[in-house]
Amino acid sequence: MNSLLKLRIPAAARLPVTLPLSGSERWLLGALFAEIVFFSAAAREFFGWTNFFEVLRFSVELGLLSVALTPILITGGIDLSVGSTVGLTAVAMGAAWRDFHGSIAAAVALALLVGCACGAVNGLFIGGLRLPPLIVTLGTYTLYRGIAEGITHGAVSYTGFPARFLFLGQGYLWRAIPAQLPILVMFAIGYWVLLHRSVIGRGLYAIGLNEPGARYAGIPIRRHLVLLYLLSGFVSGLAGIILVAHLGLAKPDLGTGYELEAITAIVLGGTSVFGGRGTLFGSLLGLFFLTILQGGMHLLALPSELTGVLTGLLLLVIVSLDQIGAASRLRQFFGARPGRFAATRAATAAAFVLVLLTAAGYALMSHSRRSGGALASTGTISAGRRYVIAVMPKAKGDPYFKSAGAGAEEAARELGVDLIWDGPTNLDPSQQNEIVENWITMRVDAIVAAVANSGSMSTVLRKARQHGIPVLTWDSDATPDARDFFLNQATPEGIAATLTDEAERLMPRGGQFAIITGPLSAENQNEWIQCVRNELARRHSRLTLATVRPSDDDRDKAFLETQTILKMLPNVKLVMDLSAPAVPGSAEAVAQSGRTDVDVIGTSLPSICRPYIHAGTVPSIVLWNVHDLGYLTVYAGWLDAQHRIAPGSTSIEAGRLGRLEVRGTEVVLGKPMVIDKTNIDRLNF
Amino acid sequence: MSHQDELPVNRAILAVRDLEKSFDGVCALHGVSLELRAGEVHAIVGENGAGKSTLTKIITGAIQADAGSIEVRGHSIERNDPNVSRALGIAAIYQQPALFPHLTVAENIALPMEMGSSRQTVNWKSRNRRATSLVESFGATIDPRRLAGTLSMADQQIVEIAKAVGADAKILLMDEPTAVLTEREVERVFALIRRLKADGTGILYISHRLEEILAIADRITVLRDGHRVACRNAAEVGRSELIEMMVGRSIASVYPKRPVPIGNVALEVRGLSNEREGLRDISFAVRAGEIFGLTGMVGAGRTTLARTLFGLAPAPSDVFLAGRPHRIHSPADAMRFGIGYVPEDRRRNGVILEMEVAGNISLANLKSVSRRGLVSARSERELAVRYVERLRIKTPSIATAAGKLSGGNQQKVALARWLATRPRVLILDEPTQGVDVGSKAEIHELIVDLAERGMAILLISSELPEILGMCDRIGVFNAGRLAGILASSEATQPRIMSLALGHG
Amino acid sequence: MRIFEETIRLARTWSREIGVAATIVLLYAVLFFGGRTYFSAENFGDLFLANLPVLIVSLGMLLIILTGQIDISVGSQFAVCSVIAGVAAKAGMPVALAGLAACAAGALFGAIGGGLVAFLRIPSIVVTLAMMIALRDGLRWSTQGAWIENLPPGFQWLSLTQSRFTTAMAVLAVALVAATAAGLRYLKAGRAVLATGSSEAAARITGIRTDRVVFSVFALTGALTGLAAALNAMRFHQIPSNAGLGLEMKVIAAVVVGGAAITGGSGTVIGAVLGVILLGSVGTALTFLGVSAYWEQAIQGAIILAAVAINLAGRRRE
Repeated sequence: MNSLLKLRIPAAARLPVTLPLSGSERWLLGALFAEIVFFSAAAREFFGWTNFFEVLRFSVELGLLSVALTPILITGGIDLSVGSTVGLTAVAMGAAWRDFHGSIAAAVALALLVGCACGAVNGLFIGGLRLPPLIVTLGTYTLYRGIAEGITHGAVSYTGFPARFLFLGQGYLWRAIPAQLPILVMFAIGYWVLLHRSVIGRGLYAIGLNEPGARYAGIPIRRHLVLLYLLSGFVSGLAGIILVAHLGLAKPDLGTGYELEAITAIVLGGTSVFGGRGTLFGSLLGLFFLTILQGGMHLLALPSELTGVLTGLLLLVIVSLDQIGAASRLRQFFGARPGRFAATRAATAAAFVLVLLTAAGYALMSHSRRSGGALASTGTISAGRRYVIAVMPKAKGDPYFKSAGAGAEEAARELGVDLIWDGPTNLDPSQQNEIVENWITMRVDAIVAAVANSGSMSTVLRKARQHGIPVLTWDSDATPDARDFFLNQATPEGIAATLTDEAERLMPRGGQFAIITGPLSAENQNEWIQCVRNELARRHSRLTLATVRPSDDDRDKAFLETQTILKMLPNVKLVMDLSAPAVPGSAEAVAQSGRTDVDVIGTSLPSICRPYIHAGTVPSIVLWNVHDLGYLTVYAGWLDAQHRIAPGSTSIEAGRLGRLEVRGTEVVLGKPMVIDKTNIDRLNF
Repeated sequence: MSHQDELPVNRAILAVRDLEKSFDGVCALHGVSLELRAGEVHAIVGENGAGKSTLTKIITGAIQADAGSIEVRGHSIERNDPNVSRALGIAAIYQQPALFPHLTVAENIALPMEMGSSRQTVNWKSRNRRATSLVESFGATIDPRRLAGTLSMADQQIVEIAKAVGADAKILLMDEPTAVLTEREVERVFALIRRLKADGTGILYISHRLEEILAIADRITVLRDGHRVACRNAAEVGRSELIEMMVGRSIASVYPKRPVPIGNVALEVRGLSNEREGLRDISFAVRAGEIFGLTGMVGAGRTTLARTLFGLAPAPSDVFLAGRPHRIHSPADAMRFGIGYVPEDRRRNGVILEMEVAGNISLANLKSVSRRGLVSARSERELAVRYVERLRIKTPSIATAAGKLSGGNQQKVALARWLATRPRVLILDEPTQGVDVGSKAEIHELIVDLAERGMAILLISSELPEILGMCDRIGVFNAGRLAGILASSEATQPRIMSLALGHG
Repeated sequence: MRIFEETIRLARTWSREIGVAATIVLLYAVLFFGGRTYFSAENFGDLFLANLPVLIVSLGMLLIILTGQIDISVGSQFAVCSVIAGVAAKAGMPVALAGLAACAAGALFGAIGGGLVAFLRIPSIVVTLAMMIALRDGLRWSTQGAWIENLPPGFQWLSLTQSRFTTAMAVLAVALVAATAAGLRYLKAGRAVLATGSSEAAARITGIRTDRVVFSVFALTGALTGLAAALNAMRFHQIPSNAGLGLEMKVIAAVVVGGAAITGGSGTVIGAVLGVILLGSVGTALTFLGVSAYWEQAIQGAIILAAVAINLAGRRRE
């Protein structure tokens, strides 16, 4: 037989045992290599084991999702609900741990069970009832996230997990390897075997290439699909648990947007969304490409949003390059295809790729020019003792933090320090951690962070301090042991007191009011709401809080919510907005309704409320001087970097802000201001 | 031998001259010329790969010739594309009806003519009226408001023809239009073709079914390897001569059926019904070594029976295999009980075109080439090589995608997949549909060979000569029932037809 | 008898739309008993304006889904177009012209995406995923989150009064819906859209330039997104730079709940409009029914799933 095999069908016998790299995999491998070379050259800290493992740590959760999604895409399906499943299992885990006093093992088991249940629902609809996966998981994407928010009332976030559980997300094996990495490796191998070596895997490719054909070959399609979606739920649940251990907290919004990131990685890796084509190896390549891009951009102190722009462009470039290859392959495959056509297409694709690459290059260049050469100066951190102060807003693309950023830049110019101003571009709580990790690798001179989730950020900030980097917090605090000082613009109690005082002033005879908050799961705002409730109980018994509605920091949503409140609760005479974009939204809704008996107050920026304050719809807003706060971040960071704020001192000298009081470990900026008609035009933020 | 077609040019409504076309250096057409006269059915025959579809694609403008000219009614076409050819009254009908499944019959008929006109709007009333009158003039009743996807294959093909006629096509290209039709439906289509002929339409007719060609064609052009081998008047050639010209050699016996010893009952059904699929009260038994033919109209229940037996359309009836009752719920059950099924519509169901030959062959045999759920590349390779050799599948490599093979070889891959499962009962659904003459003979030979080794074979076919030439007994379906079972000695074409039409 | 049969036939043809309509009626019946204040002209007016962007964009999305493609970048396009409308108006352009600028920008984005899908044959979900990320972060990068403020006085309400603007928008919406429905049914181009989605191979044989069809529906959807963004911006004094977050999901859900097949070829404008009405009503309806804000999202998800399942049950019976 063997000799026959060789003699008679020489080429035929060479059925590819290991699949050779596909077109897009080759392109991607090249791009990955180029990326590593580029970042190694540009950022000294990039190339090394420590950074390598840190990068890997951040790719575990997303990696698990990509691994689970790859075979689903290969069958021609999709699972948009994985990110929501992460959130739901995280919350289930937290609730089980805290509310039911279970053992941690029982909590983990329950969370995995919830993950399986999520997957089972998808599997039942898709595999059992044969509904289109896109629609089903679009529904469960909303459903699972909704259940997570419902269980926690958006507000609860669970912390205080035992150390041996947190080790899973934060610890090291043999002092170097992130503890969660072996799990990813294990699942990657398992899925690789499933997809590329097992009987089931053959069936999955067959389903993706030609479903009726697979059925006629006796492949149990329903069973395979149910299994895949079930597994996807299980793995998402596991990713959720690891994320909880990684961040040290469980919140309903964990995993937001992960589904698209995972799909981006998989598609980059050459898997076809139409099914039948793709490999697990490609998906992992895509994942590493994206994670390295993200990390590298942070190390170069380039803004996070540029990563998004580049990801989008590179996705198009790599897919187009693959298209060029595919065009020539296609020509071989269907001999009948006119060659000229394929050639034109390849040429178009090539031209397009060139245009995109030029655009990407231009974007990078113009940015480095704009930011005054942050790229160049990172190399001279220690040489010229030009201090690098890294300041993190809670979110980029928010007008509040944009104003603070302007203040920070002013201080940076004044002091002659390099300012890195970067923060998350989405709601994903792990993004802040990731950026700080990169700053640690970069060895910046001081980190000044506005903490979105104190539970998750405290850990990484502590790590920064262990590495000898001075850490300050601003806007909202971490746990006290995680930072040197907190730049306190106003305490939640202070804000709540000022707001309720304003409410009482506007409604002297008492009455109902409504609160519109940011996202339901925003930690900061939830604390404020609690303080407002306390204030009501303590001092303002005639005021009643009628309802709390979310605005998701979206002006238009706040507008619609306010309209609904006005109609449904006609006795509400005041709307209190705890999110900056919500105030103009509510004000516009009140103005358009023609109701003159309803006032809008809240915490917001003068710049976006100015017309409404002048018109009287918004009698006042409560805020501190954001511009000054931004100024203080850099100034205090600069002082701390030189160890010029002694522990125990009672005041600091902060440039044009003058002498500021220090209470314990909190630098007090001043009281919140009540901004109204009389003083708004004097404020420039 | 090819000088008989030197006819007066002025009578030709379509003339192609010296067409050359190659793909990536492989020549598909070598200076092919032919002429089509008004009111003529001009058949083109040739094995797969002879250049028939390339020729039609050039005429419809789907692809461009490298050299040569096309003239329509004496006017030479400078640059052909689908719009140009349609404007000149050329329409094409393909083997698989190319209808829009989500659109209505009326719209399917109307769209091609509307796309050619400069009017930017559509008029539904006149669309429906026109569709009704067209379809009725064919002696068919199809609600013009029905969605095309809900029609039977035959009705879809009729809509296709109505589409072409409605678009005022004077030149009709028919590429295997009867491949998915039964004898009776073929007759309906032929009646239509004769009518179109009488109206002065010229028809280029491509088919593998030589009986049909000899019945309907006026002239026949034979292509082989991109060359025109001959052009003859249909009345002057015989079947065997045509085959000889097509394959370039003579094929001795057309149907290689040999008597083989008949064994025990391998499969039996008693009163099997599948109400949901319209199958009622089927009883028959097939013995080892026997070839049992199943024929009848498409939709009469032949394929439904196969799908029921294979668990694709499970029925609440028992199936007796070697005397034991079994309930078949899924293809996996059927496979476990030793039933194999090579479906019709090979490109959709039979093989997975993008998958390599080896993967296609092993797809139903993954258990036998794997250990503990993991596929052994070595066993898979050996299995594939064994069957590639045994069935003489012409493929550059077992790693070649099945879609790159010719139709006949694709069909052999599908056969190989099921032979490798070593079934006791093998159901073959239209195994030679759209397969060239050479491969067809090889497949017939193989079937006989299998029977000889003791396999029980259910052979479903619409081609009566094949059924008559290959089977020991023949079951004829009519409207979901088995109208009668004939022994090969008593079976004739008329008897089968009368049973199939319900006059049994 | 004839009428009866005809009714059955119509009910079959429109089964999916009837299913969505029935769900809406059910929701309104519950509201009638549980939150009667919902039924006021003012509320419907407000709801209409709030959902106008979703409605306008869903018309375009319907066309895209009919051709068998998808566009998940409309939310990001929406944000960029809003900002462009604002910048144009501030630069001294007449407001109507600023609106047109937004449309043109949207059409350009749509054309880029559509071009990549139609001519380079890159899957639409990949192209629009890339555009979604790149446009959103590009905008964030260039504005750093700053809002467009101090718009010219005539910007809000297009120099009309609020109620006139609402009326004008109602007229516009009806016109757009009617135009899309009529265009799909009576224009050759509209039939080409359906034909392309139903069977691309057949469409090509019929002489339809399917690549141009796909390109055009993307460009048109971009223009509609620009229009929606401009009109939405005109309800306010300022333009935030994070508009349209999650718009793509709302729009796709509405079209799909309205019965359009995600695989193309099948779906109606009426269905899409009903889908917008259903999903647009649910959020506020739950508030009126006193459902806690925390459970709203979960219930919305359940409604999408239920609508799809009902839809399927209807289709299976055919």
